[in-house]
Amino acid sequence: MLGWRQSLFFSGGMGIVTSFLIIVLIPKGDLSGDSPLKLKELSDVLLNRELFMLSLNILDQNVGSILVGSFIVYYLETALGVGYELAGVLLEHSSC
Amino acid sequence: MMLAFSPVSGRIYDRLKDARRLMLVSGLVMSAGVGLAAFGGVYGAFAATIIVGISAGLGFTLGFAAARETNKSQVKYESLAIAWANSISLSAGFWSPVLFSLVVSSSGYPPAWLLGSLLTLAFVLSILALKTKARAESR
Repeated sequence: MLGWRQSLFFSGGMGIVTSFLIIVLIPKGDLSGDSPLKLKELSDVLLNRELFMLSLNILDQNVGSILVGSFIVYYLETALGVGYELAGVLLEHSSC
Repeated sequence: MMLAFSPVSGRIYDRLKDARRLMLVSGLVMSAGVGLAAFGGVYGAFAATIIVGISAGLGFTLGFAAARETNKSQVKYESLAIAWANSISLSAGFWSPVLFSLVVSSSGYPPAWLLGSLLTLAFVLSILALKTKARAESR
C-alpha cells in the first residue's frame, strides 16, 4: 500500500504527535526548593552494585528484544520467504 | 504481547515479596524464545516473536520496578536509578545486532539466533548475584 519513505514518514510523524501529547498532557512537577543533587548521594546511586546487576538483567531483555525486533522481519522475508505484510503482522504480535 | 503483559506483570510485581525468581523465569523464557527462532521455520519464528514479546513485557516491568526500589531510602533518586539502569542496559545492548550480523554473514541465521539465546542467558544469570529480594527491603 505505502512505500518505505511514506511508512518511515508516518512512523516519525506518530513519534512527534506522541511527544507533543506528553508535553501537553503530563502535569509539570514542582522544581522549587534546594538543588536536588548531592554528589555523595548521586555516587551512591550510580555505583550501586545491586542496581548494576539489575541493569544487566534488563540488558538480557534488551538483547532479546533488539535482535527479534531488528532481524525477525528480514529473516522471515529473506530466509523463509514470507511476504512483507505477513512478516510485519508476525512482528506486531510481539509488541501488542 | 508486550503491551498486554506489561500491566499484568506490574500487578504481579506488586503482590510479590521477592521478584528475583520471576525475573529469572522471565529471562530464561526470553533466552528460549530467541533460540526458538533458529528452529521450526516460519512457525518457530512466529512462536519466537510471541514468546519474546511476553518475556519483554514481564522482564522490563519487573526490572525497572525493582530498579526504582533499589534506592528506597532516597526517594528523590528513584528516577535517576531507573534512568541509570536504562542507560546501562541500552549502552551495553547496541553491539548485539552487530555481533548477530557478523554471525549471520559467516554461518547463517540459526547459529546467530542460538548465539543471541546464549547472550541473553548469560545476562539472565546476573540475577543470581542480587543480594536483596529485588523489592524494597522495608516491606
